[in-house]
Amino acid sequence: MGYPSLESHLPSSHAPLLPPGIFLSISDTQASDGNFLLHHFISNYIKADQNVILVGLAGIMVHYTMVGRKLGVNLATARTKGTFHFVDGLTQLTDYAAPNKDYLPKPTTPAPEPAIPTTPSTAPRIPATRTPPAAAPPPPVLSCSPKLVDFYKFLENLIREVATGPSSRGKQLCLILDDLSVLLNCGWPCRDILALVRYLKQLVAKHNGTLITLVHADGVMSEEVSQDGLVKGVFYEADYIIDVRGLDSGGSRDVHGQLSMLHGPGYLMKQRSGQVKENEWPALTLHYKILDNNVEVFAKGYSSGVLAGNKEICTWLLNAGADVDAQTPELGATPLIRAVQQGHLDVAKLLVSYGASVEVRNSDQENIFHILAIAASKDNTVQTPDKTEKWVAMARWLLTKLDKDRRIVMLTTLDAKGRRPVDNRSGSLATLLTPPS
Amino acid sequence: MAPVLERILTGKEPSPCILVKDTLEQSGQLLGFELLNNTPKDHAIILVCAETDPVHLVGLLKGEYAISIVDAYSNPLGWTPEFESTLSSLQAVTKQPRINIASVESVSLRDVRRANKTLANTLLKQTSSFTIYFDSISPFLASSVPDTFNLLRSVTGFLSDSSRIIAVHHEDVPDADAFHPDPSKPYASNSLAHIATTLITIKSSKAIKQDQEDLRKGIVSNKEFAYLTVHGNVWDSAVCDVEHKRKSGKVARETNAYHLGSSTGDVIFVNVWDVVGDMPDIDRLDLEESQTADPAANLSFNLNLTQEQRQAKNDTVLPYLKTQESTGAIYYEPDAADDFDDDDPDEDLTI
Repeated sequence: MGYPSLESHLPSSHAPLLPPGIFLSISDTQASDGNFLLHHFISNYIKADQNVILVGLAGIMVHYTMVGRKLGVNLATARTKGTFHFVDGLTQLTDYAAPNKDYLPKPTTPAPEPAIPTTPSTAPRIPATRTPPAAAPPPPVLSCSPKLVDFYKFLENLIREVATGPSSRGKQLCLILDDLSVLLNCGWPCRDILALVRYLKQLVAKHNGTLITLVHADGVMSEEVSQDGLVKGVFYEADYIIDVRGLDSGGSRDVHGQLSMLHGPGYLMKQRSGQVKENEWPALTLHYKILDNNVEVFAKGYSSGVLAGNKEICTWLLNAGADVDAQTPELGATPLIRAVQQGHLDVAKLLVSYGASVEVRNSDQENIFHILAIAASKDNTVQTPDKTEKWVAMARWLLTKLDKDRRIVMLTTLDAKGRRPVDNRSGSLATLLTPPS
Repeated sequence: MAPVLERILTGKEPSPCILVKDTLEQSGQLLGFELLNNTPKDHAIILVCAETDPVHLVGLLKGEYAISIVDAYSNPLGWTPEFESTLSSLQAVTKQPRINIASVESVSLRDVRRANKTLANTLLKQTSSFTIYFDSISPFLASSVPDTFNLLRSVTGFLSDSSRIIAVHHEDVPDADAFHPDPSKPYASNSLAHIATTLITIKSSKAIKQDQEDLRKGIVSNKEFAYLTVHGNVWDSAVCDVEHKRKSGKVARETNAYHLGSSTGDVIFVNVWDVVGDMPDIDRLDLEESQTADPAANLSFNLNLTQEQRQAKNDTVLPYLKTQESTGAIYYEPDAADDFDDDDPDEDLTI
């Protein structure tokens, strides 16, 4: 499994794979690299024993193998097994060493050892050298001419070979282009690259596959017409779009950036024709944090780092004028409610010192003691003395913040379900929460 | 009165050339296609596909029409004829007997002139009135702007009284001229607006709603750059600015909106405020605020005066009133402690 927390946001019909026949476009910026998403899909497809063709225009094989190892897939074995195919576009897309006037002759001599006229040292890295010896050995340079059509033809042959191979029956195919902007930088016109995407999309769809591309969509580069045209063209073409960019507010230790699942124009027409279910791909923005061998994806503002009772951040926010009694729209929870819920006594103390109301009630009419009791009972799946002690300390401290009358009122208050705080609790906490008679 | 858009859709307002202008943020293809789906029954339909698979489009058509297809989607640069849709492939995929496909032509976007010829040939074969639909004119413009205008001109030459053109144009996609900007050249999108008898500009209703919400709250949000936001391409509604030129020369401008009950349901045209809600009246909001905020309300002490007290207050003559009557003068006697300095403070400056 790639990143489990991302999986739940992706279309579930073919999980962990994407629905076949679609084109997913990933766009990123310099500040936040979208590469990690590609690794998610690579590892998912390899683990499900499906075919993956990776066109590495921005990285060499070793890079993908190393990341793959972190995610628990061995790309080298997959490659020998024939499910993973790597096209080295970084070193072999064009050969600048070759004289420009007569483009490299396409080698025709069939040989078990691939005949590489110009760069024999790179032979092991050439992807298609794994093809059976009977087939013509591939050119050492992917594109023997400055026309992108030759690059397409090369990919077409490879895809066809992989998809119709004897072991590929019933398998899905995933073609990944990492990344399209490189092609633009290599001097191909925007129109040709968009055409390449169109042809590949049709070809891959024909072979029950999925196309995933990465493109850089920086704001500064949008002034460049061809860059602008490429990104927009890809967005118009795509069925699904994931946009990765840095946080609006700048970097953070606990949130590395945001990724937005977007509805492109193509998605709208798909929806109209009833091809996609509602909520299959809801348009929303998520935050992510890249860890050593995983990526955590969470709803906006729900970074565990921020919510894990970070006292400095809270102080900073309060000093910056944050509303200490702000309530969430649905649940009506205030920061104090959240702090108590998660058992952060120091944060709760901080909030109260900044004037947070202890007598607040959420939209379920629960007051702070209801919250505390429920949180404590949820926490006690494994009951240990120090855990109980934590909640007791919290309750004791909250009670000191109230005078006797208000204490009785709050401990006898009924929530929307007609329960008192103590009804959710037993044990030493219950004695504390029992209203004095 | 029904919104202009609805009258155009139902054919009560004749409009031979409808241009739907959109951006990535809210696609106009849905509206363009809805206009196409309401083509009069006796029309033939010519689909010029450059952005959507013709198979997909034909499958969406509801009525029984004779359809000719000009396919610029499957083989945009003539690299391989493999994906070109043929008559048999289309009929096999659609499997709907009611769809009568007259002809399928494949064109390449590399050469818009040749596409023009192909299209003209298709149009020559038409015996009845027809509706021609460009699912997007932008790929043509990206290939060549003058050739595209030639193509449009030759198509308008074929238009009889009731025939019409419906075209979707992505305003934000750079056309061929944008790569070599030339101030003497007119913008393609402006020129297109001149040709069109009805110009519909699509905007995202969700983005407008968000803007209003911000306005109401008084937030000025600085928006980070993004090609597309999460508010983009909502399926259920969009705001449409309509500019309709009547034959008499009268121009009608209206802002309408369309609304969908379900993603595959019927399109309903409504007034824009039914979709995005009323525009907040800033003046009225300010006024309300100033009226509601009465500082003298709910005080624990008395700030008001009785009649008697007010009388006494007004009658009191305060000292400053007396001094106002006489002319003022300043009496000053310097004493020894005064530091009297008649040096020029700017002495050191060479002015």
